Amino acid sequence: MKRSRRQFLRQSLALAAGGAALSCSAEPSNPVTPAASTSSTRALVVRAQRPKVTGDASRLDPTVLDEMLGAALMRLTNTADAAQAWKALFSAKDHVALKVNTLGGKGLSTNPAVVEAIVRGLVGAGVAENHILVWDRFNRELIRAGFRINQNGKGYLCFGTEGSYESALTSQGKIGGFLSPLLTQFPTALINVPIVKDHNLAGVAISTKNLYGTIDNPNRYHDNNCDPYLADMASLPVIRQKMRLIICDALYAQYEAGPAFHPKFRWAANTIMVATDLVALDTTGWQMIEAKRREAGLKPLAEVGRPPRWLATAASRGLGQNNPAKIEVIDV
Amino acid sequence: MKFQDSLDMASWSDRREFLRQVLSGACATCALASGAAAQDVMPATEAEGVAAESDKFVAPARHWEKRENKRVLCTLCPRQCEVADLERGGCGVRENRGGEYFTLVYNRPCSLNVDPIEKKPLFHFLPATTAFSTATAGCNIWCRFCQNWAISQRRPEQVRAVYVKPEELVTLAQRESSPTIAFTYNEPVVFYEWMYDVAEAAKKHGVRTVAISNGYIQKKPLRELCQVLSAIKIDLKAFTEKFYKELCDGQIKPVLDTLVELKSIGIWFEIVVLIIPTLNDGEQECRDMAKWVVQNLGPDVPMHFSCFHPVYMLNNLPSTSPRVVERNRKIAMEEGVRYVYVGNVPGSSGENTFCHNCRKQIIDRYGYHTTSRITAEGKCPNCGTAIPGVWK
Repeated sequence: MKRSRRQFLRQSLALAAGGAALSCSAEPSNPVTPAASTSSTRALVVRAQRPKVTGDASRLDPTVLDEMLGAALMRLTNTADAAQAWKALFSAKDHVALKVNTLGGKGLSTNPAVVEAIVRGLVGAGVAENHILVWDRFNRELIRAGFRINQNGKGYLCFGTEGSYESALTSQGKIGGFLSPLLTQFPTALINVPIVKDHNLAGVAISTKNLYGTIDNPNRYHDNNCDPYLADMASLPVIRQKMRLIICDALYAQYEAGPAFHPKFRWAANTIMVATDLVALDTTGWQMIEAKRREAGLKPLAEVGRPPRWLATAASRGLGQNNPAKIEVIDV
Repeated sequence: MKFQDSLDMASWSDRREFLRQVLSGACATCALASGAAAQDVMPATEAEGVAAESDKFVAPARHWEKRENKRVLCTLCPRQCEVADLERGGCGVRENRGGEYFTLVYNRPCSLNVDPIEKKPLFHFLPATTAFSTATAGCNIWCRFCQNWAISQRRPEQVRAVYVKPEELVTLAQRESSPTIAFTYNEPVVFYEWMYDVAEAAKKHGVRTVAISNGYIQKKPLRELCQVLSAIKIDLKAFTEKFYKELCDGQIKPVLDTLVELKSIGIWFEIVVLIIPTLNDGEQECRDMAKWVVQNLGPDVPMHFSCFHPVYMLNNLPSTSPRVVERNRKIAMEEGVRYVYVGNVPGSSGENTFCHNCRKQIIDRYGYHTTSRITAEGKCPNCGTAIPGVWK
């Protein structure tokens, strides 16, 4: 018998809550350092770049993706092999939500192949496949980006929040809205899986901007180049408590005319970045975009009226490191 | 029943049943809407079908311009959102699809109620009649004290709605014997296209239309709209930029510009100010506002000072004392405003209308119970002075 979406959510979220309670004492074997807490703290961003990964436009090579992810996480967690790296971050008791970015369709969204690689890593760490949820705002956007909706079949779950937000109001600074239960109720751990792209208002849309997909009214938060709204979003206690890792899919990135996909401004960056500090990761992604803009003869974002100054606001609140001199970018 | 309460009662599962109830008169007050679980019949595997279903509410938007890289500039309201492809404007109900701009709330009311016209409030417009009142999701500013936040601060996907064409809405109003349709509860500017088409259809059938608005609209769409509307009520939230910026994410100047424009157009309009303790309840602010009204709009534009009650994001403040709105009424009258009222104070003499010439009471009000003694020609029955307003 078909279950309605509401029934499904009720059951799966109840299970998740049970899982969460059980997992309280089940910490990962070797937890990594949480996100930087002061602007003076050094931050780490690990970058794996493999030119051949996008070589076959029709299909990303899963072996290459696994190797890239494994290498990056090993360095991030100071572990000797990829399996250990995943186990350092996640345990069998976790329910893990992967917040992807699918606004831009197949051309400019989190790639399903990257998500599959993450799922393989999580399963290797003991996380049950049906305790993994890939989600964004809408089913239709997930489908357009190449994901297969799965709310109760075999394998990892994948569906959008649609209109089903929490009924209790959440407010933080200038943010005030209703969060997705796919953030608040399902996971014990959140993996932020953004892409790297230009944004006509925020300047850049990477991991912090990806958080707008967790609240019902992101349209309210674009004034003043999204400052301080993006910092407020990242300050939400539920984000700070659950966001355990950022895996940035920068296989393809876009340096102009975002957030929608414009093929002429997209380039194959062939990169996966991992971090636990979203400010540091976004600062690094911003530098990638600026470098590409220079190469293309475009003005810096600050000169075209969309400097991502919310990064400085976020850093001033202790959410992470925005000073490039204090961000250690390690290529593996 | 409070509007907010009625939101949670919504149980009409389909349009046919909903309309049947409205048409049969079974529900004088019907509001569909809201709630996190409102979309519970949406199997994910049918997502494409659902998208197609919601597309029936999509119609080309008016008042926007094309920009490079498939962006659009919305010129409907002073926010002037530049919206990238696949994104929405600040209102959350207008979306860029491939470089073309669309409204997502055309024929998509989430509320259909029969209200006294005094509830809007419009005190000088067909008193003691009803207004068939309707709304959609969305708003173009963000008031932390919004009484209807459950629809105004949400996206269309989060609010249960039915499909009602302009002509159908006019028929519903006529069957409820309402001489007026009111676009209210949320900000009607955000459903401009449907509002305009309903107003145009209503006009053909002799039904009036009124908009209950925050005044956040550009001059050109306002002028067009006023050709089909009969009256407007403007919420003037305060008389300081600070208030608009910090509590509404808006600006005061566009609202004042709208008021001046309405005066120039000649349409009937009234002003309501919700007085919130500590935020806009200063005597000097009231005096400055009243002076501005008299100087820029004349003495005949009615002003209403209403009491705030804690709601939405301002639950930490107390309700406004009736004494404060009574004081504001006195100040505004001292400054030369002829018709000043208090709101949310049932039984106050400040609800009644007094002829500005002879000072005789010519309309009695207690809450929404209204008795008018104004003549058919709109004159004071005592001294024969013409009373500003729309009386027939």
